[in-house]
Amino acid sequence: MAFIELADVHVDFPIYDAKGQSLKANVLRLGAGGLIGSGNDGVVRVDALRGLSLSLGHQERLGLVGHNGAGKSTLLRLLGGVYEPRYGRVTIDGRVSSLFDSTLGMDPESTGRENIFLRGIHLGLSPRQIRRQVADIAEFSELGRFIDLPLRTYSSGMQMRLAFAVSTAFEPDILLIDEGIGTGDAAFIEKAERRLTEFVGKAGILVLASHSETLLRQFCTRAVLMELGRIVGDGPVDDILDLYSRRRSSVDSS
Amino acid sequence: MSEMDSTVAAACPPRTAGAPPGYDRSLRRAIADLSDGVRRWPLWWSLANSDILLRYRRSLLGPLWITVSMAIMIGALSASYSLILHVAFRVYLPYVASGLIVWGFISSCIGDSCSIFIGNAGMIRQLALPKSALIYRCLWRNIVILAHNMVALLLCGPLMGLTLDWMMVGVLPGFFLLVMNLTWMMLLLAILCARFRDVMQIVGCILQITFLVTPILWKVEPGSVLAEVSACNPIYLLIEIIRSPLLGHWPSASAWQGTLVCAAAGWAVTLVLFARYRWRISYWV
Repeated sequence: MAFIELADVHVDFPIYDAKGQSLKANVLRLGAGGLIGSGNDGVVRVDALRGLSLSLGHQERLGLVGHNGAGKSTLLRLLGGVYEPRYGRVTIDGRVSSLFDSTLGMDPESTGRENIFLRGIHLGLSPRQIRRQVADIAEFSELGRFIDLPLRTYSSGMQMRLAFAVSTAFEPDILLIDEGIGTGDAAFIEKAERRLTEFVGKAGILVLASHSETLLRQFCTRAVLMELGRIVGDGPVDDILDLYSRRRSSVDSS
Repeated sequence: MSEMDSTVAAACPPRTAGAPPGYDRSLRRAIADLSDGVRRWPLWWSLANSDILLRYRRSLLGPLWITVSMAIMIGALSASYSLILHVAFRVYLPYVASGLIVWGFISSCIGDSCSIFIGNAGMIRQLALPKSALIYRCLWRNIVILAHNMVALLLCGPLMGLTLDWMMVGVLPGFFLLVMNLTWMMLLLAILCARFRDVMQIVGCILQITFLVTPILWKVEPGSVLAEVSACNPIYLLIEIIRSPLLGHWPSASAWQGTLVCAAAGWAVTLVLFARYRWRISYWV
């Protein structure tokens, strides 16, 4: 059974300006009387997640809601294993697949078929696993004869369809999606929803970050509202979307 | 980057005194990264191969250019330096050819390593990828290039007076030691360059100087001061353990010892640094 458990997680990004990142600045600081003590080393830090706790069980479809910079993408990347938190505990049980950027692993000069392979190995699949699925993926993405043409001839929607098909083809236990699927046309979104519903039916967990209320309502059952790296609301999608629009309008009117 | 829009604090105060870090700084985790990276061979193997094919796409000779440009370089340098240094061309050519090929491998591994993490920022920020897999990609790409040059060297060997015999098998242990040394150097530099952006420029300068001070175009006379100085040059020793068997004599015991010590010491330092900062690399790039 897949599950996700985050306990009091903190993520911060060190921001080095040209000075901070150069060796000179560090050597000069050493010359001027030593480092000023850790935590106060003059490096600007952006706190992206601040004491965030969350637990997700099987068959949950979670939507992440919040304005730009609320920490949605950072949270998704934390779940995807890109970042390790400074403090707090992250427990993830299950095979994770992610759909953050539909260009990941894709080479514009290679054909759709070759790109299925490229993206597959980026996602950590073995060549044999990929070969078994190529026909399925080609069919699901509905690219027809485009599957044997170079990727650069694809529209962004077509590329998205291919990326989505690869990321979901290998039955991950946990699927992370950042925006994106909005570029598919209505028919494809319907198809994507069927696949996601089927996937969640097999005890998978879906986490989707999006600004589109339609998408969130369509794909998710539960949502969390994030503000400045914290969770400020957690509940059914409709309630959270209401809360989000209320908080937005109160900010606008003040 | 959207993450950067959130609250900016001048300095991040430690949350609660003694709060356990969420990341794993253990040596075991660093070593696991190195072995997990090997397990991701389909990724680095095919990325490295496509790096090479992309570079020569639509060129007439394709990857054969690797060998052709190396051959031109070797020919030109041997011809001019054998005149400058008053050495017989026939003696000088195999020496320069084998030395330059090995040096080319070392210098491009080290030079490329500076951009391993910076250049793959997109991948690092999207995938839970063992960091070492990116090192292996760079290493494998350069090994493929080296293989091109080596095959050409062995094919042209008889013309240059190189004799193909069992001594050449001695190249293999030398190559193993060379790779063991290069891997730690590449990992170390990749980490340093991700954090300190001017290290790349410094490495570029050092490589240029190393080429000149290392006996590649010139030879050391045994017993001279230069021989003693060169014995402390790890790059010279690394070239020697491959060049000597190619030229038909066994490398000196001190070359073996020196490169072994260099590998052990280098890995010790690199592993400690990698264990400590591995988790932070995703944030730096």
